[in-house]
Amino acid sequence: MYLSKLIISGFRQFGQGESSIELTFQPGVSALIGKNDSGKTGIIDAVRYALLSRDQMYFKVQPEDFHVDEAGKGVDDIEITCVLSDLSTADQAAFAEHLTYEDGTVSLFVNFHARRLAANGTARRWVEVNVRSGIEGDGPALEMTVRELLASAYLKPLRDAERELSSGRGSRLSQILYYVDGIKEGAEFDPKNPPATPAATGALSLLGLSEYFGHNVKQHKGIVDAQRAINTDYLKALLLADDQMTGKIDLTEGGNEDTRLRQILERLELGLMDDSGAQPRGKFGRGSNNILYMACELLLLGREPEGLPLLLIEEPEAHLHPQRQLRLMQFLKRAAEGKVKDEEGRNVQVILSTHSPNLASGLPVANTILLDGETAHPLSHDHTCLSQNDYSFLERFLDATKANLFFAHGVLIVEGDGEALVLPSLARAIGFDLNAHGVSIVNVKGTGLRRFSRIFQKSDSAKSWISIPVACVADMDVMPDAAPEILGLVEGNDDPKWGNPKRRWKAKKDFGADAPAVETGLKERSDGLCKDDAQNVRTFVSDHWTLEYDLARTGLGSMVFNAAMLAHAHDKICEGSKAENEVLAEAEKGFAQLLAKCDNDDELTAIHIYQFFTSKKASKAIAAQYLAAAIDSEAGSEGFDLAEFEACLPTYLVDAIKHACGHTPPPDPPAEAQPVAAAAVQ
Amino acid sequence: MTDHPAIPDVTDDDIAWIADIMGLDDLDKDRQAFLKRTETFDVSACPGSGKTTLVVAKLAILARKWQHETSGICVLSHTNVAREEIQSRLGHTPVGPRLLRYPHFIDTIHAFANRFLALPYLRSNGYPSPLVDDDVAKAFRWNVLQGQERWNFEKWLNNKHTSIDEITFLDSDLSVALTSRDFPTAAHTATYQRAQRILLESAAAGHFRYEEMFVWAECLVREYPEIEASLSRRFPLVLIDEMQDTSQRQTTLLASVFDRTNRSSFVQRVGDPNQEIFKSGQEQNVADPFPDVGEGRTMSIASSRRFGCTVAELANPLAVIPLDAEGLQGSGPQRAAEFSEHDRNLIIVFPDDSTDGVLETFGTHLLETFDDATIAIGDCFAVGGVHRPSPEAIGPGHGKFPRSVEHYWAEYSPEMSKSDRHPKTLVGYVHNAQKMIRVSKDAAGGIAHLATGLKRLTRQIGQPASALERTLKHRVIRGVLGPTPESLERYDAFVQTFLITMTPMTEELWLDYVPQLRELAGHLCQGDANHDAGDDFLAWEEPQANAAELEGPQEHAENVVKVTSGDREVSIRLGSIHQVKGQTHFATLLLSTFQNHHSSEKIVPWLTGGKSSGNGEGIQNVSRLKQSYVALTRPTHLVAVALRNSAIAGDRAKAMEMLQAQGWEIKDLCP
Repeated sequence: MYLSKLIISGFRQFGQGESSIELTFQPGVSALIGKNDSGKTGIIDAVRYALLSRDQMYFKVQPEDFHVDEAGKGVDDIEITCVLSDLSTADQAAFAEHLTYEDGTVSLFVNFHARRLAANGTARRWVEVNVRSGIEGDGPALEMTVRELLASAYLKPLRDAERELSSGRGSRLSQILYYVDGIKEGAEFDPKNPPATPAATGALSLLGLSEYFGHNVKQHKGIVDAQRAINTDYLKALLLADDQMTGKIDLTEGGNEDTRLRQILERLELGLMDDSGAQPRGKFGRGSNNILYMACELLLLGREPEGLPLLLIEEPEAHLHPQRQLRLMQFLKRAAEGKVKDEEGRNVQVILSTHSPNLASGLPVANTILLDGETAHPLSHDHTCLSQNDYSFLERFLDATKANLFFAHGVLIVEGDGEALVLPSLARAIGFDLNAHGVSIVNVKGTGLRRFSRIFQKSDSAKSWISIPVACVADMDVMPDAAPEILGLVEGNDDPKWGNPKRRWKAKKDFGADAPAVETGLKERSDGLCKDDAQNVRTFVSDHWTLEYDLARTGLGSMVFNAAMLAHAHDKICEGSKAENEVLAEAEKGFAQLLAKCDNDDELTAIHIYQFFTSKKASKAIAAQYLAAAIDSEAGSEGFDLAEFEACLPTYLVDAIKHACGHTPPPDPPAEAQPVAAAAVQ
Repeated sequence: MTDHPAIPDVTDDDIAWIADIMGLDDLDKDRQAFLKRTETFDVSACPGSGKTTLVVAKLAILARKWQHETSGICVLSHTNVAREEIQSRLGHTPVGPRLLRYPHFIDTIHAFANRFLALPYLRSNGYPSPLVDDDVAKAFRWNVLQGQERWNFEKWLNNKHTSIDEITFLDSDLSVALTSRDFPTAAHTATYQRAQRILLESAAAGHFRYEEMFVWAECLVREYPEIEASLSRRFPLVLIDEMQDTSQRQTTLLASVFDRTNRSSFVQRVGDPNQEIFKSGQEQNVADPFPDVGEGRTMSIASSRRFGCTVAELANPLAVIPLDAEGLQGSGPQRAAEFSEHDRNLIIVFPDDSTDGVLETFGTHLLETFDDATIAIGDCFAVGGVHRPSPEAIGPGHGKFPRSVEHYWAEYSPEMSKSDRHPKTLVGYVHNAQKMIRVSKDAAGGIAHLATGLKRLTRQIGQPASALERTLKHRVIRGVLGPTPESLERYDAFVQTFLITMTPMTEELWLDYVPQLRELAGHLCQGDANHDAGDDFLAWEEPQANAAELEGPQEHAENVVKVTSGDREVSIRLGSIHQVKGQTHFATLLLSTFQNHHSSEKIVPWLTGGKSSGNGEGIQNVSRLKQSYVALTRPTHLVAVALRNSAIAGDRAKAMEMLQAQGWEIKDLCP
């Protein structure tokens, strides 16, 4: 049995009707990811209200739990529906009177309904809570005993694991140990015949050991003396003649065997020790204890014979360093499959909320639910435009550096280091600071640009879209006709290499015989690169060739040239054998020479600048660092004119930046209409 | 099944424990075996065997040792009265209340089918939460068709010797049938489609007859056969009480969820086939007969704690299915000190055309035989198989005389013996509510009863607000009325006047309140209400002076004949055999009534010792024998039979002699 669907209406940030939220969950681990205030805690709390959690068995609906709409009006009803699917025979048996039978499958609907009531004319207000089964909540009420079977284990954020693992009444550890096989095994203690050998002592049960210990304590000289002193020296002196009362020092133990065993278990605590075997209190921090605590919870859930094995964890990354986070994720996945240690374990469902790209990257994309505004977007199969192939690709390549895309307000997906390094500076220069706009750059390093952007496209575009704007920045990769010869790829127009079907580069003239035909051909190529654009994902293609070429071509020729020269001299600059301004002085001369050589032709100049990169004289990545620095200093200089600078930039970059920052230029032609529901959310 | 939740073993210590708590000082071998057996078996328990006590004892033992949190014991009975008796007696044991909660289930078979099968099926298929009530469903169905169409349809049905009352369905597609046969025409006809329209509207509004809920239950079992595994796991032990009264349909349904043959559930069925008097003759349970025929799967408890050996010997021949080799044993009554064994069990022979003196003779005989203190131990009854009056005029001299109980006492009123938990009118709910409050001294139950009545009214005039489906109806009604403070005030005032200050309800007062109540119900509807509907339900009805269930048998003074002898007096209560089933009397007189034949004529051979058992008898006679057996096994002290003279007229002297030989004392009222 697992929680397969959750519908929340009128609760906290989730409105009613159109603006209620519906989530689907997969068995196993599911992660709720999204930026702050996207509703992660609201969702976890909704599950805790509807299904209860074991830590505090009951917590009261608060006035602020009722949703307040944009007009400032509070709703009077909270409705939370949990659908539990994949019920085993035992589950069906336990919930027989509550089941729903639909299309050949059996499920359990739990409808939590809280209604705000106020007595007329008085200040008395209260909340009436009803929890019933049935699709519409028209089934019988779920009594408390039944609800307790559904109670989930809940780990709150920033918990103090050490305290939870220490001894005490009802301690978590005692509950866990109680369910461990063999905990009740062993021989009883017979006071008339105490164990004579260490082996006999070892054969005692826990209860037996405790009684043996108690038996010995009572015979300890110190105890005996103290007890006698209390009775004879003090108590007696205080009593009246007829009072019959004696003091007795004992280990407090009472009740039946079961209670006594629990009392013993409650005295135990779980701690960590290093390999020296000592138990250095305080050496292990909260992080380590947290890991231990989660391990305990999973052990307990996996072993319990009945009920819903659901573990809710808020921000498990708390106190854990990145490698531990990844390890934790692996562990949770295995635990979810019931594969920790013994085969008897049940499949545990884990729903966690996280801000950690590390954790997010540790899970298959299909197991994540992206929260965006008041909408939840499961990224599971059938819910996105990702193909099966994409999912396995992303499982390999969506690492922690890329996983921050899940938490962004906007995403720029780029093909290489050049873009990744230069775009933030460009954006800042034209007044769109990417950090300020919460835009993440994902550098796919050559391949799979579309695979990442499809994460943000819903398979059913009639459902509300993911509101995060995604800009894919792509190169056109078509050289001007003059370039191949300059780059030494061919010699003259008649070189047979032009006709080589295997050549990997393209020039403009490959697209048509005359200028209009070339233009049409290039348009087609560009449209082809954009063909998957849909919803809030758009592709921005360079006008000509590549980032560096297009930048040089449109107006940053000298800056790109300087950057290339600096990159070329990078090693010497680092060694200190050449100063940066020396290189720049040389570059200034070199650029003047180049302009003269090219007769001030932008295209030729740009080709020659770009040759630095194709000839490997300059590294694109290093040049990009210098270029970014140059742009930053330019933008910070006296009299910098933002509009003028923007006019020097290739438009596709400006458009991409603005799109990712939520300032989308009007599409042309008009894009498909956003469904009403999604529009309402925005 | 390997993961069948284990049933706790019952040990001698457990039996000693419960015997101590419940004061069971005489658990013989059979009774102990009954308590100990944990697997599937059937028990034939004779009248007065303390069956319910044993069931309660067994449940209490199991409750104490039960370990499973999600598997429980399912205890099914036939009537609400039986269910309430088990529940209340369990509630008085120290651990019994545990069984009244999840995961256990103690209720009627109908309630089981509804809760676990029919209601989940209806809910899953989008039907509204149903109101299951034959009367309400019929009333609704009468009103589906209007005007000329209804008139024509009724006329057509009349010609086919049926009426809208009999229209029902047998499958989830609502294909039309009549309660006792097929619908007269095929599906393409206009009349069939009219009938189907009635069913469709009735189903859409959630109005069903009790029996129709089994259709939905059967649908669920058919469409989701896995329910057998899950319900067997939920209820590894099923105890069915009064098994003999379970219909073929109920038995089949139960067998489809609790398979007794493959050990997926242990099913223990308790009953007495000789006391099966509620089923119609046609409906013999042949699919899964009770008691089971399997070797070692049945046991019987043949010794009664109710009566002594003389009553046992006299009743024994009437057992349709003979008990063990030794026959019915009498080892009662339990309060042995108050019992004096005697041989004054009585046959009263009365003339064919007069029942004068039958009751007096019975009463006088009692006064002669026992002193007042002994008679005060229990009630004296005179019961007959037929107790409802006949539509035709029958009087002394008529061939069918005496036909029913009223022919022994003209003031007999059959309605009075019928307790009514579902009043036919709203004012009936008010009367009941007042009675409940008077008896319990607690207003909550009565107020809830009134709220239930108000919901029924709402249902008749429109679609009740969905909140009304909840259990705490009084609270819900106040909640729904919240937005209209005047109506809330009126509702509160009504409750205050009649259920708190307990103003007696009169016809005049009631008629004043009707428009208000109609309006209140309107406020409880979602959407429009039809304020013209519900007239019958709002009609005035006199309070029923007798409400056996509410006030207990000692309280009501109706249908009681007082017989005096000198300054002594004995009360004889009249009733039907069906009504006294399960009861214990001090003395019981079986009256002769007429259904196709005079009952005394047909059973006399079993009284004279001429015949025993029901072998080879026709259905009607088997039924008479069972009824007679029930009547004869009621009393602790004395049994009597009234014989119409015609029963022995063939050879009076020989018959008298044989009866006396059996141990009967005879009083002959014939001139």
